Amino acid sequence: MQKQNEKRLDVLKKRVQRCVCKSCGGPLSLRQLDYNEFEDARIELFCEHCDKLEFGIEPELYTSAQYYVDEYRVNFYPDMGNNQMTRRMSISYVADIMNWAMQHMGYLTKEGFTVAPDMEGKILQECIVLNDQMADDLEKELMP
Amino acid sequence: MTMPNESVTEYVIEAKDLGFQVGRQKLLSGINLRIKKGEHWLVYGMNGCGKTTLMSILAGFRQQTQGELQVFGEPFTNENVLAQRKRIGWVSSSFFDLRYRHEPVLDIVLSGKFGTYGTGWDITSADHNHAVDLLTAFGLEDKRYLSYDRLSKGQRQNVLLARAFMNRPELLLLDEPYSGLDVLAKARFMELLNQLMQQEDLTVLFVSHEINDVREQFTHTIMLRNGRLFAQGRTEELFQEKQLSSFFQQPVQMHTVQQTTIAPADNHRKLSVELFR
Repeated sequence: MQKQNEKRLDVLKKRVQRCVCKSCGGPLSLRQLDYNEFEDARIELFCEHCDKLEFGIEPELYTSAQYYVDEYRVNFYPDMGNNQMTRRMSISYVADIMNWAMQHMGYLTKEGFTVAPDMEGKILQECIVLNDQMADDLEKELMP
Repeated sequence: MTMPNESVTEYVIEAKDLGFQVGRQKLLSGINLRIKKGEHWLVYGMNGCGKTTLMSILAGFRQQTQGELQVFGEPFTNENVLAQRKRIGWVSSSFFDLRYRHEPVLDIVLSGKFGTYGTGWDITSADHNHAVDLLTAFGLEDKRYLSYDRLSKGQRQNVLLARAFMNRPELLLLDEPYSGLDVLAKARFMELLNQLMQQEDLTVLFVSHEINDVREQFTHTIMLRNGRLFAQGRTEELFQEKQLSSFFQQPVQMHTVQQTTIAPADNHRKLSVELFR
């Protein structure tokens, strides 16, 4: 039992460093909810931005889910309108499905991915640093 | 003190001189309880007398500051508290409303599996389906992805009821479970509870102000006043005018009145006991 409880706290400590909120993609923190001596039972993962308990998701999955929802204009909650809340709920929904798929295909465990993800740059929304020459060339190309 | 031929583990709950103090304020003190497996207790008291505090300690969500407590024959420890909590179904909107805000309904119900506030990694399809079945039984199937604070009081109460039954509990701690429920939801849950309480191994502690709703179902009663145990014993002995006048510190009279009640018709869709136990 001791080992099992140690594992839970260890898992939470690892997830807080690695995972993000599946709704907003923000960082997670460890929060103590109760004042007692039961360390394993009083600590939970929390998203400060969403102000909620959140077990979190791998950042690569969040990024993929966010890209999918934004790029394909997906809204799983049309009855609730098209707004930031339904966008986040949709991302969370897609992220859950992706998480399930990865887990059941054996690519994801509670310790993280078993295979290092190799993601497309456009999904990751990478920054490209341009020097002056590259910026001039790009300007000429876009505005001949 | 153990009676001859009486095993300590026979008691689901055994509290000796239990107390809870915050700063210099004593919220509970001198609570002595022995509750056997399969017994059904009513916890009765005025507002602010410590009922929810007592229930939260019995549920393993708070820790007593004085005295001893054993639940299922063991004190709560860091090593066993989560395993113990999984055997306890606890409903208390006055407790959980302070902890849950924007959490999705489904996550809250699933957290019952872990005995924690949040969810964990090991959620199987069976867990998910059981949680959805419970939410469906309580009429919340279309609310599973909504956040807790977007629900009405009655809907939140139903979420907590679903959470309590996630692990098919051996001990049910129900802190005013009818609070906020509409008349039909209340009738359906009362009917379910009656059926569940016919099972010999389920122990129930029930906090209520509405004694007419529950008095006949509960053989034993705990009366709390100002954080102290005023009386405990057989319900029919405690709910007497003399005893109640002493409890309320003013003369009271008991009246039996004929009530008009609303309940679902006999052929209504009942909550399936198998889903909960």
